Amino acid sequence: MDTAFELVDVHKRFRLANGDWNEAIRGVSLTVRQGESIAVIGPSGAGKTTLLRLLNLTLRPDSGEVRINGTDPSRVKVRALRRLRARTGTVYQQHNLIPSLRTVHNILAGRLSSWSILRSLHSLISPREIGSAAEAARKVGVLDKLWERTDRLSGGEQQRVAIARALIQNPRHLLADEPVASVDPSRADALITLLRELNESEGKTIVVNLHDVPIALRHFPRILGLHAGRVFFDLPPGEIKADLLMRLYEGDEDMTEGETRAWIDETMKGSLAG
Amino acid sequence: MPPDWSVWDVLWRASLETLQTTIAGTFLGALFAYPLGVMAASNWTPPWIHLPVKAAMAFIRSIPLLILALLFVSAVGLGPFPGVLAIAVHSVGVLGRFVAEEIEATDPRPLLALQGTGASSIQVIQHGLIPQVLPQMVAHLAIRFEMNLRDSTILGLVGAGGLGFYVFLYIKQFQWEKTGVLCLAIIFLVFAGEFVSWQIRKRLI
Repeated sequence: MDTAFELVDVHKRFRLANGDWNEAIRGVSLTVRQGESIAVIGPSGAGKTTLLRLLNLTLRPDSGEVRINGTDPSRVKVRALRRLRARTGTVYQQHNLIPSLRTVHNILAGRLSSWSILRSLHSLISPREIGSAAEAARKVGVLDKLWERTDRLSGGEQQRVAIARALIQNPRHLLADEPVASVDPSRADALITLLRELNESEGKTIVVNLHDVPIALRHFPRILGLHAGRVFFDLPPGEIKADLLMRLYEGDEDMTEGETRAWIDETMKGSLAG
Repeated sequence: MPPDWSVWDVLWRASLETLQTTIAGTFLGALFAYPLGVMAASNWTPPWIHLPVKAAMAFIRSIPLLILALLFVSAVGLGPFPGVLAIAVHSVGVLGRFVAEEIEATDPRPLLALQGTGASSIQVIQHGLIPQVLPQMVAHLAIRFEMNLRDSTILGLVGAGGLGFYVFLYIKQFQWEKTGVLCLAIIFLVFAGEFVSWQIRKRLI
């Protein structure tokens, strides 16, 4: 089967405001096959968002290799790099839409890579390809908001606009960073189900960062545990036990050990019940 | 002492000159302020570009408009042209700073998201940066226009044309009836400018 993403010993660090270095990713090797669906879990600061940005090619690794469908993006010209980026649609935690634009423009932003500068400028004045924008909006259930300013939409609606923007790219791979963090629980399942349907019916590769471990265990056949910038485990959900999760979330700044233990117990019960 | 409306002709010509000076000066200034403002934005250019540009704009702002007008009058002669130049230069200092600050305050995450879809750098600016800053830019331009209009009514004091020139002339000749009429015109013009600017900003925000 084709390889969607291949990471070989990837390192990525950032300079902090105080001048120190933060090693976000420390030697990750990972192979994701085309059409696979993976949930990435781990404590905050484990490097999940950095990993996603390495996969969608908006970050370059400091060392190691990232390949998309067998192509090394560091060896191609700008135009080819843009085409590679267009293969992957990304849904961000903060949605990252342009608040002052109408929904239709934010959705159509997913088409920019195939438009000339003149065409994209024209579209800002009178939107092009309204049909496909409407189709994407319908798929995620924001068709009635197509002509509203994006900042007038609720958080949940904005998130669906962000998904529509990724869909209209017609990407081979779909990445999502904490897509259910700002959504109520009843909608969270529906959202993940939507992503999984795109995976199953259209063969899109799905990589989703999740804080919500029960949802990850319930919906995804492969779970990647990330800890301090390294792959801590890479297992099917059936093989993930409470003590493994305990060690994964050990030292999470947001929780004391007792809280972590109680949360994991709850999580395991929840995932068995679900 | 009733106002002397025989100055109607002068009033009309001078008001028009003041208005034209303001419009020409503001837009000439904006023409340079936008690119310079982008250069002065610390999140878009390296320090060796944005620091000197910022410093130059601060220097311009520190010179009072009347002094600028005085300099240009001695450089290019009397009339509205030095007024246009003075207003333009002053606007570069003030508007450029606003442009830089607006760009520095933009959220970089939507821009990264656009880059991630495969958009080119120009498309990222076009679709991500400009829509984020445009309403504020237009609002600043409207305010600048309003303030420049007020400032340019007195540019005539140093010989840079417009209503101020005649106000100064009639004061020197003790023709208070005519001076009064011109002062009324200044008040009306400044109010009209504020009204236009307010209407524009009301529709934007």
